[in-house]
Amino acid sequence: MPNVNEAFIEAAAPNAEAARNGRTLALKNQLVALQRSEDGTLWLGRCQGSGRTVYLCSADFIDPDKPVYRCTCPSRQFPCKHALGLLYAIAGGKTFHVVAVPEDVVAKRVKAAARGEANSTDAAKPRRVNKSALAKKIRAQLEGIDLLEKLTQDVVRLGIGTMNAKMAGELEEQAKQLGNAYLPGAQTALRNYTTLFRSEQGDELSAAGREAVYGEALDQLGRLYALIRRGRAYLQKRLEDPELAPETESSIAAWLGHAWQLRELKACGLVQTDVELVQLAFNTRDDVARQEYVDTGLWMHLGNGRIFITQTFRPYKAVKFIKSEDSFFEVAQVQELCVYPGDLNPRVRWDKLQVRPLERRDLIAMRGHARDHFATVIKDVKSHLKVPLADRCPVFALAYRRLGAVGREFVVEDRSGERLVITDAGVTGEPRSSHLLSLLPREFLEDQTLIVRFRHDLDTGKLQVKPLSVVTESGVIRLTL
Amino acid sequence: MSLSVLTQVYEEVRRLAIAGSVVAPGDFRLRKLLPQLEQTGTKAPVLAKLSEVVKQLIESTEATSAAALLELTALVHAVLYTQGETGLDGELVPIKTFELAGLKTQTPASVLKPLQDALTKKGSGRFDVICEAHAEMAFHDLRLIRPALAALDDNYSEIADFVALQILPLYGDAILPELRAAFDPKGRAGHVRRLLLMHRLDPAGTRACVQRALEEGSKEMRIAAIDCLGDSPDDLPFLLEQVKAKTKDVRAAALRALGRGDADDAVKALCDSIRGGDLALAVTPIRASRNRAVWDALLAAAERESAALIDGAEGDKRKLGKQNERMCLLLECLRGRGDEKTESFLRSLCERVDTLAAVGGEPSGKDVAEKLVSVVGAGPPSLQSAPGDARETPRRKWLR
Repeated sequence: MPNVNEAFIEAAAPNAEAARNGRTLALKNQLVALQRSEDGTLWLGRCQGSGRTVYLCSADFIDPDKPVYRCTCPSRQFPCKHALGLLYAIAGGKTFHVVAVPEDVVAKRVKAAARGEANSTDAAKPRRVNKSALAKKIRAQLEGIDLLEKLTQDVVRLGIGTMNAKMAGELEEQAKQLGNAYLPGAQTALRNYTTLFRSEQGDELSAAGREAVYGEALDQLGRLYALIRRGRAYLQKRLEDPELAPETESSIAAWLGHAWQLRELKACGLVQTDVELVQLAFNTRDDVARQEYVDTGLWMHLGNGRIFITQTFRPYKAVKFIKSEDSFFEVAQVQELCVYPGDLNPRVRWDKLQVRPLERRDLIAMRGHARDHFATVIKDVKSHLKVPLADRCPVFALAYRRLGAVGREFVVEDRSGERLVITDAGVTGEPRSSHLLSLLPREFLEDQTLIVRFRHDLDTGKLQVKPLSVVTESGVIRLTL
Repeated sequence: MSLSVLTQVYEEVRRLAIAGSVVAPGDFRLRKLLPQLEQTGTKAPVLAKLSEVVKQLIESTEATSAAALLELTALVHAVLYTQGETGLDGELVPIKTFELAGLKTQTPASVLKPLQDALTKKGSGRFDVICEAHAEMAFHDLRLIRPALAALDDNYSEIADFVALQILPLYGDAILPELRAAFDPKGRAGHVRRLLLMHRLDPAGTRACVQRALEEGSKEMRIAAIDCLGDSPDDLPFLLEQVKAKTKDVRAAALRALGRGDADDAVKALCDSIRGGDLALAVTPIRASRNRAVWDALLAAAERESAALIDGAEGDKRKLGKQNERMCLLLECLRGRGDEKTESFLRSLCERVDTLAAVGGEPSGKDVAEKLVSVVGAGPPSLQSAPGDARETPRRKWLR
């Protein structure tokens, strides 16, 4: 059985509010008839809720990696607040009477084990593809690409200057057809353009505000154009050969909206085994273009220093039912790490993880992976950025000689004197961070590792970095979230 | 590679994209750049390709202009992304740091993000989130400093005041540069809080800001500035003048400032306020004062007022009400004092609490008795134990 403490419960809770409600139930002793199995794998309790009947809830740790929380309440959150309350009762050291595992739970365990076995057998079986359906889907996607081209060209023909919030709304309505054409990624790319012309409240932008977004809007149009060209070529290639798997060399499949499944990634060999990861930064933002909340984690592979991202998308409509991610301060030991095709910082996912505390040797390893020659990093970033569909804000670990100021600008310098200017411009929704450098202990301003996000501003022509974290031998100092 | 011609092409592409590609065919400004591009293209193949695409755009028709402009956009961007300017010349000086002992950056996002939103956004329920986080010491995270500073201007004044009084002082001198940079002496609520906070953190360093606030500020700002005076003997004549001001808030601020000093004139002003009509304005400075003369004047006044009430010579209810009000204020001034004289006075008063509680008027003697119970309750343990019976009396007889 895992160690059930506050951190464990908060990690298990779908959101902070559910955890808070669970804690309140435990504090008010609302959970009664507390029982547990002799081997400590099953914990049971009863809780009076708003319904007429008392809710029966349980936490089953028969598989410590995948605890099962059951409750008779009608909530669609898993675990519900009653199960979380039960966990708080366990963590709080309440007295549980030892009982035999109830028969219905035994039956459920047998069923779950059988289901698990069936799933693993299914996963091993090669998937049969309905080729005609796939060809039909690809043809629909190609039609969607034609539509995207028409919409993009119409925008360019009329000019960015004529775009306003109303027109952006109309364009989004038309872009819904892209979703119907199995191109949700293309729809998002178009929305990324239209949302530039609205304030956060959905209002019209001021003249100065419009002027400020023209450069970004032009870049988005360039990306849409690249998406049309590359997407069409990719889809035509797949139409000619329906057996062809989604492309794994680039991120074009994800750009068009292909939702990679772990099974597919494993089938394509995009799996790394026995990986240890440390989170460098975390961010949660409201992506209006996608109509989703996006939780993004940045992680470093302790073995080779590669920086990955994890992303959890929580659509507005299902936000209560999808667990929000949180900052992670330990080492994640992942047996099978699935790596998405693509960029410098590819997206990763995993099914199961184990946790161990972050130690000094891990921090030393992380620092060892940092790049100490800025000139080569800059070269790599530039050659990455010139690819039209590349991630515009790649993340690197830099080993710096010192952090200092030149005039009003903060600057990070390597051993050879190469400098990078620090900025607060990064990705939307990420908090500002440069001001925190002046609050760091003085010794952290020399010979440490800085995790940075590069950003090229097309209007000023400057390539600058946004600091995300400082890795010292004593810990990771987070500057964003 | 000639960055200048590349930048010019980008500017033209930007202009045409804003205006619409329909104006691009035959565009003369682009045409003017062509020879230069062709010339540099002989040295850099990518510029040769660029000149070709520019030519295609110039020769395009209304129907094909959009595709040609997009093609040119993609190419210009791809080239520009390889030409990003990095570095900065000049002497690199160490960043001026403000070390914050005990601060961390290990607060999880699930706590930090709602807190940042509560401090910087609008909506209901934010005050509870902030108070709860403060109680759980969540503000010991340096990432909350800027949002907390922003909350000084919050429209919901309870949040702004709580942040100014309870949270921002946690960060000490580290926030002074930000406070100074943002301070506007002509500003209103948020800037008034900034001034008071700066003075609380660094009275000597805030002197210039206080002077500016006195000279340029609004009424609200001037009152806050007066509150910040009193640390220097030079302030005394000005403060003594302000004690006689027409505006009540100005007099109150001046009395608070005078309460911080021990100069004879300042003490005299406080003693005058005990005897005069500004007692209500002077409760805080009198209570905080440790000057013997002020204490004596206070006790003398309290004894005089209480004796008059217990004598019961006054029959007019209006006048009795005023006497009761003054007695309540005098007792409030004694709150928290543990000296022998005060203790003895309160003890003797407790013995006559029944008589006090029977005094009429509005506020009534019952209010005086309640105030007495409350002041004795906040006093030293010796005072609380000795007059137990007496303290019980008003509760038993008058508060029920």
